[in-house]
Amino acid sequence: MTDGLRQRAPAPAAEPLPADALYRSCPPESLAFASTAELEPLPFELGQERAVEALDFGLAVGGPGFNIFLAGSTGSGRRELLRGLLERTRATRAEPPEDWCYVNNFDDPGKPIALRLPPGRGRQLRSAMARAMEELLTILPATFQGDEYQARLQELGEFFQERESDAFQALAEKASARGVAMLKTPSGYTLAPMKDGEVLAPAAFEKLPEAERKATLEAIEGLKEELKGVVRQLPGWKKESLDRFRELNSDFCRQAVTPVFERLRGEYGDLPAVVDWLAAVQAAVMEEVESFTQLRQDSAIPDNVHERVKEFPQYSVNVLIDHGDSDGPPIVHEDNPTFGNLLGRAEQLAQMGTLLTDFTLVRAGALHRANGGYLVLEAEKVLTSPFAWTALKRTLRAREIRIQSLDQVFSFASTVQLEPEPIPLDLKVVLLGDYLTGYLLQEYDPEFATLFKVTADMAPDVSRTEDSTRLFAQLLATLQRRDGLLPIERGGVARCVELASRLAGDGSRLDLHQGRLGNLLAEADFLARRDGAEEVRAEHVSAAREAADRRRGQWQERAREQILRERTLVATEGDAVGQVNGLAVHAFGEYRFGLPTRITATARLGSGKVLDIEREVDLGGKIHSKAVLIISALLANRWARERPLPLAATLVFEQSYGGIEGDSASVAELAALVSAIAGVALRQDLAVTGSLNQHGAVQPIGGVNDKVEGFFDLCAARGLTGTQGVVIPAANRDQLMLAERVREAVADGRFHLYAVATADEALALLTGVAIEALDNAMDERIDALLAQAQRYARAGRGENKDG
Amino acid sequence: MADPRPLLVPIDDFGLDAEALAFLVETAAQLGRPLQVLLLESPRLYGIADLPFTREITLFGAGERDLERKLLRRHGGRARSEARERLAELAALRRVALEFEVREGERLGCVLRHEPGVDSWLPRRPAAAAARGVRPPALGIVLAGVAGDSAAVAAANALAARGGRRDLYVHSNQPWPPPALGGLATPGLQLHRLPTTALDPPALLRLLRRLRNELLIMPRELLLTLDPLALEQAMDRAAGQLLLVDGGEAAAKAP
Repeated sequence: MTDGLRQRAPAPAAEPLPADALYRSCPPESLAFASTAELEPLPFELGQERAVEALDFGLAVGGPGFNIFLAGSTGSGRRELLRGLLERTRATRAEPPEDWCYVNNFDDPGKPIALRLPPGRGRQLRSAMARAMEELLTILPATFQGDEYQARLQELGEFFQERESDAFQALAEKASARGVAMLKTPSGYTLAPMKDGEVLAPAAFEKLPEAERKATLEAIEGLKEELKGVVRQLPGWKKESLDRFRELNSDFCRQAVTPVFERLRGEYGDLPAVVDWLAAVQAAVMEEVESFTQLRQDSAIPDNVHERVKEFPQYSVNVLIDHGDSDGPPIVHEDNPTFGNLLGRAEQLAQMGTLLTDFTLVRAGALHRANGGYLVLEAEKVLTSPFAWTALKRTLRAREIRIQSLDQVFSFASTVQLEPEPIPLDLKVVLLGDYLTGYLLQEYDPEFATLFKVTADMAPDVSRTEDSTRLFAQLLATLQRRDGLLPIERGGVARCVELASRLAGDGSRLDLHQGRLGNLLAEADFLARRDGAEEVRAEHVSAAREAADRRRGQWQERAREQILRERTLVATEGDAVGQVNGLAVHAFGEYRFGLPTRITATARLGSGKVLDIEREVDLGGKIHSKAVLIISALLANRWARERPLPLAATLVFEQSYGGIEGDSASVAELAALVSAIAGVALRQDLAVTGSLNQHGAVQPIGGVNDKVEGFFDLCAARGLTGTQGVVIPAANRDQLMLAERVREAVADGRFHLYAVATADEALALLTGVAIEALDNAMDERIDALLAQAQRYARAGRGENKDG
Repeated sequence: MADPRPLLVPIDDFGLDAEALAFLVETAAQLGRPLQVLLLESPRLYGIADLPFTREITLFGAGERDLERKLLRRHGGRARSEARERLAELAALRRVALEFEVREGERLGCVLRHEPGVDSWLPRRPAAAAARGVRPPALGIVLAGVAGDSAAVAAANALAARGGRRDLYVHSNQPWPPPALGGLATPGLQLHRLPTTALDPPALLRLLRRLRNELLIMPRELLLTLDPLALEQAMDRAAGQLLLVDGGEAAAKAP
């Protein structure tokens, strides 16, 4: 039937695309330099005007929440771009931020005090305190060993001892005068009768006259009360002596310590918080003066107080952030943004099975280091690090850095933890992420939009113009110098430009993915060096690209082999009804390739539905299902506008087991359906790709170059017949950047590319039948089905029997 | 070179504190002297306890209680036994020869009435140790222009040379410098002249009552002139210890 139709109503001859329309070359002579060695480097801003504007705004604007989400894929050059902009912004802010120190809180050691100091003065304070401690360790022992103190001490000691001794001595003498001895016992004193300076034995005492005994006993009784009176005074005297000793110590300590702290207060008089802390230190030193006066004999160096300073960590200064050597605001890239690395931590020391911590063990996090400047984080790492994202948001919201362990945050443990005083936060966070991450955060985290108010999008490519080509060459020069590669000769640059268009999948654009470009240049450099070349030439770039494709091309070859061995059925010659070659793109990471796939359709009497088998078994995606519904509508609108469409059609991607998505097979599916319905065969030497709308206009698709090359390679492997070719949407013409082998075959007339704008053009090409004749065939078949349906309907109602 | 003459140490019912014991053994080691420890039971104290009306006034709270011989014995026995054990440990550690002898008597009587040529050690009372206050360990010497001065200087020499002492505090009633100081042979030993001008019995008793030196070296003969009871009361208050040297014939023969 088809042959007859083709003879009776042949389709008008379609004009294939000329070979020069298949590729937008970059003639080396169009480049006004010999090699990249002559070019100035480019500050990674090519094609990123929008992102640069957003970043400039985000980095400059103040106010809470104006942090930046920089969207772009890994390798897109976002880090380099950001680094350049950050350095530029930083240069406009010459002043580095303040230093931050943690010091002991003498009132509550569990809550260290945060001190803010001008840049560089944190370390000065630390040194000054160490020196002051050395000084105190020298001065205080000398003070308390000095003759003056010793004399005062002795004087005071003697005074109290004398008072006590005198009291006992006077009582002893009084007792002696009354014939009573006052003697010391292990626990106190006792009184005993005495005669001629000797204590009387019991027998001797009994021999005394009654009156004398009575007088002695009365004397003892009286003296006993006096003795008790003296003993009762002892605690009071003791307390008084302790107070006086303390006073004496305090006086001397004050005399020794005050000059040291006066000097420190003078040095830090402009910092009230430091002065307050110094006052607390001075008070603590005076409280603990005794520990400063203890001498150590374990050092070979006489008076080696330097080491002893370590015995007094409570007076030291933990310089958390030191900007003494900074010349501007900090830029911190935290590559491992864990909870602790972001917020800082209080480390612990194990001693005798116990974990101990204090303010000296507080460590800064990235937020501390970047405070007053910029913090660059990768969104994916923050989000996948447990509790890091929550902690970052909380900190940005509160605008203060509070060092807490996870135990504290989640009340996992009830042990005593350090609670350092929070530090005010003033920084700009730049979060790097891909588009999907940015979208998901916007969609599912309501806080994201309030904390990251500025979004900067990295453009994946740039329009290919004369100017952008020149800038692109400069970008290549920058990458080449950054990576220490050989200069790239003009022809090599031209080849890179062409490949960048191919990578962009569009002859009118240039891919800006620096990761891919960098890899290409590195591989070309390797080949050039292996050849002993001094420059990277076009052949090195081409060879690098081909080698890379070869390395990654295993699955493409295997899939093609399956077709050649006819395990996967794809015809590249002849005609068939209800069967067409569609084109699919397969991706393995960044490697993509096209392959033909057989699409078939059936049509029979039915209720007007097109059954998408892929969808029925959940192998078809939503976009594909939508495309099939559009085709159904197109079919009904075009051929059954004012009558029922009494057919049931089915569509399937044969031997497809991995799922189908997208609408680029719409033209092929329509062709298969029309072929099945009208009974008109389709050419198997053509493959077709293109999306459709309800009115039959062919819309552009992605991956056109991969698809064309995929079908070409299969045909070439089987042997080109001279009739084979691919039907593509006319809108994709500009994107063609086909491989040289395809271009050569097209130039020789051994392969053809047809650009179509409507479904009719595609159907005419695929069937070889004029569209009017095809319409007639469709009408006839639909009418036949309708008549048959009516017959069945009547039969169902019993009309045939009655008539 | 070791001096074979033993150092006589009386320990009575009051016992000795650990610090004093350690200092005693260390000093004996530095002097190279064996220790002869007299463990004394005080017949006088026990006699007083036998009096039916004797009461003890305690220093803690001025309480009053019976002074019982049984309790005194128990207390004294424990104090002596602890001192003995500790001394034995320390002496073994520092390789100091040690000999114990149990006697009845008073410690001052034993020290003052022994034969000539024997040096003795009079430790401070345990309760007095706490009264010393902040003060670096110091070595003192009493030079009164008596025969024992040279023996006292010899002992100071030995302690300065072997004990690494740098300071010597001198009490003397002699014109400065006292002649006996000419016998000092330790280079670098710094002398400190103390404002003592008289060493008559009341001044000596006062000196002993106020004694704060870790060790005061003193000719024994100076104590012989003092009233025993007053001396005992003074030594009960002393916060330092005494090394009593004898300048008799035996000492002169010692190496």
